[in-house]
This record gives sequence, structure tokens and C-alpha cells, in this order.
Amino acid sequence: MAQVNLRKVVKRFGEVEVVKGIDLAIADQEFVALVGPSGCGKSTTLRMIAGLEEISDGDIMIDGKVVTDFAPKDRDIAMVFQSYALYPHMTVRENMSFGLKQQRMAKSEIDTRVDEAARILNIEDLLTRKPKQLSGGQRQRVAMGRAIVRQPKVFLFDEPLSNLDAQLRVQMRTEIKRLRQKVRTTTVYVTHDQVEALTLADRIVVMNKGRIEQIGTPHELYHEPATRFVAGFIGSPAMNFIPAAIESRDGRLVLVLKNPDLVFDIPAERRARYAALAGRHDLLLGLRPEHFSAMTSPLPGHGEFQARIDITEPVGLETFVYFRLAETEICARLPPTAGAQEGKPLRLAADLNQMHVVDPATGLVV
Amino acid sequence: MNAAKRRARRIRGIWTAIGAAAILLYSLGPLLWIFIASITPELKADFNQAWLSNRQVTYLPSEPTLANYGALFETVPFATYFRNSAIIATGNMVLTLVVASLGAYGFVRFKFFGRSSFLVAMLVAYTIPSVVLLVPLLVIFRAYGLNNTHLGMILAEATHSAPFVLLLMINYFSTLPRDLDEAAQVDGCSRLKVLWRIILPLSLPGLVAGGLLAFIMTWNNFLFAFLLTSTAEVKTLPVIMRQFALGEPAVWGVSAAGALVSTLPVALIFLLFQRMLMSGLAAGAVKG
Ligand SMILES: Nc1ncnc2c1ncn2[C@@H]1O[C@H](COP(=O)(O)OP(=O)(O)OP(=O)(O)O)[C@@H](O)[C@H]1O
Ligand SMILES: [Mg+2]
Repeated sequence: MAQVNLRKVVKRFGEVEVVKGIDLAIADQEFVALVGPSGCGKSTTLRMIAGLEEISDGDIMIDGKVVTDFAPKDRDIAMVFQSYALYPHMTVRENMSFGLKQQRMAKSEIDTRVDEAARILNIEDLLTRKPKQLSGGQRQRVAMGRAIVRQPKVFLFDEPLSNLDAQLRVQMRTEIKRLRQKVRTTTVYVTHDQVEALTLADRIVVMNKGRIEQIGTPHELYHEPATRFVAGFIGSPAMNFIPAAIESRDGRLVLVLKNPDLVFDIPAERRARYAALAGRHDLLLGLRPEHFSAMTSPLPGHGEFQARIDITEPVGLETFVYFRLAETEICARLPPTAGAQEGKPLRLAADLNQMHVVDPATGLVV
Repeated sequence: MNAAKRRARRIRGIWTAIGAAAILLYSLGPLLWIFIASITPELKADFNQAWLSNRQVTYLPSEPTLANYGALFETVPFATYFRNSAIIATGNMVLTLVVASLGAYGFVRFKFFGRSSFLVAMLVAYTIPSVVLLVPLLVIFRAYGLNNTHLGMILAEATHSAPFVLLLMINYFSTLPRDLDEAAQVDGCSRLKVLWRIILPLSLPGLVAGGLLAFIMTWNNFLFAFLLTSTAEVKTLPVIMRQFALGEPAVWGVSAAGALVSTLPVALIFLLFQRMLMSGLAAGAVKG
């Protein structure tokens, strides 16, 4: 177990810079998820930590040692690939013992470790099979088993669940979480599935175009996104961004929306934060779908308005409701009992205690 | 399926069988003829007119004999030639496989300066006729004392088979996912070990195909053997077969027996490995 540190890490493929100077400190035993849109450099970053990709600039340290010039085999890491990359000519047991054999570990010790890992992962019955004879989920387990038996300093996962069907993915996610309670090795986990990141990770690193947008706990990223990108990326359905202005009227700080014309009082505890923005007409109001509610009685800090519902999407426990506000399509997440009907008006309230304001000039959340 | 259709299919099957039989007869006919010749006893060959054997053509000898096979090993150092062929063909096979595997792995998995030019060079090297290489090889070999040695012969043969098998192995290796290499590297392997423990075991059919082709090319090659060897200690089967045809014991029976015995190993190998050979040769085409 070990810390992992990235210092100003840059990766260029020819002229193209795909990772643009990343600083990242991962604590011992920490589980860090790298998320971001396709092509943002997640895999490349992970592969640089593994030593599979050369680093164009900067340094990587594992367990306090600079490993920048080390071959993968000398870094004491284990990696689970998206394709699993099981050795087709070896049985499950041979696949799992392969790494240990390279270390010239005693046969008895290898067997003990493999049996132990097989027990944890529930693949004891598969040890004599070849990868070809396994289902996708079983292969996935074997790939994890191959990593676990090594007892490496760091686990690296590159979208390990993305080749599984939806149901199995949810199941394996829970398994990984359970595994985590037994094996607390430092882990870097790449995924484009934010639910995986939110449920598994101690901290999440949101990447965009080769840079880190924000690093934080799932709670921080969800409730205090630093940039518009993070605000829009974390959470599903995504946060709504509504054109808005902030003005000072009669000593009150208000939020002004157009079409329909709405004026909301900004809640008292937010006033100090937004005071400097008074007079700006180019702002974006960020509101998550779950922060709308169907009006029953006026609530403090809520902005009420009348919406004409365009579309409803019942998904069982809740209903996604779409309507237009300030020339923007808005998604709200309401209980099925809220009485939303397509084509009909509905009184809604926006919880302004949860609002975010984005300054489009900087892309930062104020 | 109705009766008419079934009959049409059966008729088509019969025609296919007839066609196949015709091709088989055409290709096995000469072999059969050689076999008959090899068990036909020599009439009193006129040793004064060495290569005008005075025997008559008979389709089935009235007194079949194995005497020609005996003569093969008694009157000529056939066993020595056989041994030489085996040493050189096997040596070339091993050398070719080592060079081709290492080279192909380099081409498939590494980017380096001049990679594509080297590849073209390999292709060109393969297409250069052996005759063109003869004089340079002779000069070089003389300088290093490699003329008329097994090692020299192996090196000479490899100039031809290594580029070919290299291309074959490049084709084969590039069907293997790169993830496997990387998984093995992370698991603690050096690049060479990845080649040895992962790539080569997975390329077995390709290796068998490449190895056999190298073996057979050498086993059958006359040119280098004829010009780069001078004593029986190094001469190979194709050379002695020519001597049979032109030379001192111009005895067709013995010659035919020799031809059959030298075909035997190749035929056996083919039979033994035919499945792997076919899948090895097809792999690149189908998968990649
Ligand atoms: N070997 C390479 N040569 C050139 N460009 C590359 C190479 N590998 C990756 N890239 C580029 O680097 C960028 C980042 O790739 P990377 O694989 O890290 O993305 P990612 O975040 O993992 O995306 P995904 O979610 O699709 O897996 C991409 O634009 C990709 O085209
Ligand atoms: Mg990726």
C-alpha cells in the first residue's frame, strides 16, 4: 500500500498534448476515481501511472519513490483492463498465479493466495477453466483476482465494468465495494460512469480536455462544484443551467429570469456570496432536477412559478418532468404524486438554497 | 427438402468427388511411378554407359524387390547426405524462427525510426532471387571460412526463409491484442519474457507453419547446397539426387528409392502437423 503522486504530468502524442500538466496526490489506501468525457485523457493518465505510456514531462511517485523511468514490472502495481486481457492459453489458476510466478514466489504460497482470492471472489469452481469457457462476469472476476493475488502497492482499473450488461454492472459495483472492505489497497479507478465514481470513490477527479477540473469527495463535487463543467457532469439527469440576472432592488438582492418574467429573492445566507454580481445580466442559474418541487405551501428560500409541462417520464419511484423556463428546457424530478400532466400547467418551486450561479465569462461557479 | 433437390445434391457430390480424384491422381501419379521404379530390380546396368540404363519400362515389375533401398545405403553415403539435410534444415528452421519471432515482435509492438523502410527491405530481401545472393555469399563465406560448413549452409538458407517467415509472424502477432502484452508487463514481465511466455505460446500454429516452411524450403533447396558445399560431409539430398540422375551410378532404381526416402520426412511432417499448418497459414487472412 502506498501513496501515489503526480507532479505536473504531461503527455504528448507527437504535437498533440492530451494530458496538460496534472497534479494529483493520492493518499495511502485511498480509492480515487478518474472521470470525464471520452477522450479527456483518463486512460492515458492511468497508463502513465502504470508505466505503459511514457511521460512527456513531470514526475510520478509511488510510495515516495520516483518511478518515472521504471518499467511497469518494477512499479509493483496491478491493473484490471477493460478487455480483462486474460491470457487465453492459461487456466484461471495459471492466469492468477502468473504474476506471482514472475516474482519466483514459492508454489505453496502462490496456491494459498490464489485460493484465498478465488474464495473472496467466488470463483473457486472456475480455477481449472480457460478464459474462453467463462462468461463476461466471470472473466471480470478473474481479472480482479489476478490483481488481488499480487498484493501490489496500487490497483489500477480502466473501466473494468463497461463491458458488462447493466444488471451485472450494478452487481459487480457492489462486489467491488465489498472487496474494498477487505482489501484496502490504494486504487485509481477510471470510469465514464459517474454513478460508479460516486458510489465507489473516496475522492473523484473530474478531468476535461487533459486538465483536472476539480478534485473532491463525491459529496463536495455534488454540492459544491467548482466549475460549470463539473456542475453539469456530476449528477444525472444533469444540472439545469438557466440564463438569469442578479439585481439589487429596494435593498434586496434578487434573481431575475425572463420569459416568463420572474423575480426571486436570493436567500439570506447566499446574499453575501452573490452581492458582487449585482447588475450582471449574463449569468447562469444552476439548479439540479431534484431541487424543484411541486408547490404545496410556500417554503422559505424557494422561488415559485407556473410551468407548462411538455413531457413527463415516469420511472417508477419518481417522474422526470420537462418544461421551458427562460428559453431553456428544464428537467425536474418530482414524486409521481405531484400530479404533473403533459400539456397542463403546474405550480413549481425552485429551492434557491441549493442554487448555483455560474459566471459564463470564467466558467466558474461563484 | 424434396427428392429432386436431394438427388441434385448427390449428383453434385459425385462430380466433386470425380474432380478431386482426378486432381489426386494427377499429383500422386508421379509418386506412384517413382515407387514402382524403386521396387523394380535393376537389369544388368551397363556401367560403361553410365546413364543409359538399359532397363525396360514395366508398369508392374514381375519380381518386385527392395534391393534398391539396400543399395542406397550401401553403395552411396546416403545416410550422410540425409544427416546433412536434417542438420541444415533443422538448423535453418531454428535460426529462422528465432530471428523471425524477435523481428516480428519488434515490428508489431514497437515504433522506431525507419520501421516502415525496414519492413519494405524485408519484403525486397525475400523477393531477391537466391542466385543473386550466390556470389556475395561465396565471397563472404570464403572470408570467414564458412564455405562447405553446416553453419554456412544454415546462414545461407536463412537469407531466404527468415524474411518470409518474419512477414508471416508479423501477420500472426498483429492479430494478438496489445492488452495481453500490457497485462503481462504489469504482471512483472520484461518485453522478452512477454514474447516468450505470452506471444509465442499463443502463436503456436503460426510458428509451426513458419518453421515447417523454413524446413521444407531448405530441405528442397538445391542451389545453395550445390554451390556452397564441396564434400560429402556437408552435401545435402538434392545434390545427391542430381548425382544419381547425371552421374556415376546412374541407376534409376536406386535414384527412385532415394527420391522416396528424401520425400518421406517432409510428407510425415505434413501429415503430423497438417491441422496446425492450415490454421497457422490462414490465421492472418481470417482474423486480421
Ligand atoms: N497512442 C496514441 N497516439 C495518439 N493519440 C492518442 C494515443 N492514445 C490516446 N490518444 C489520444 O489521447 C486522447 C486521450 O485518450 P484517452 O484514451 O486517455 O481518453 P479517455 O479519457 O480514456 O477516453 P475514453 O473514455 O474514451 O476511454 C484522445 O484524444 C486520444 O485520441
Ligand atoms: Mg479510456
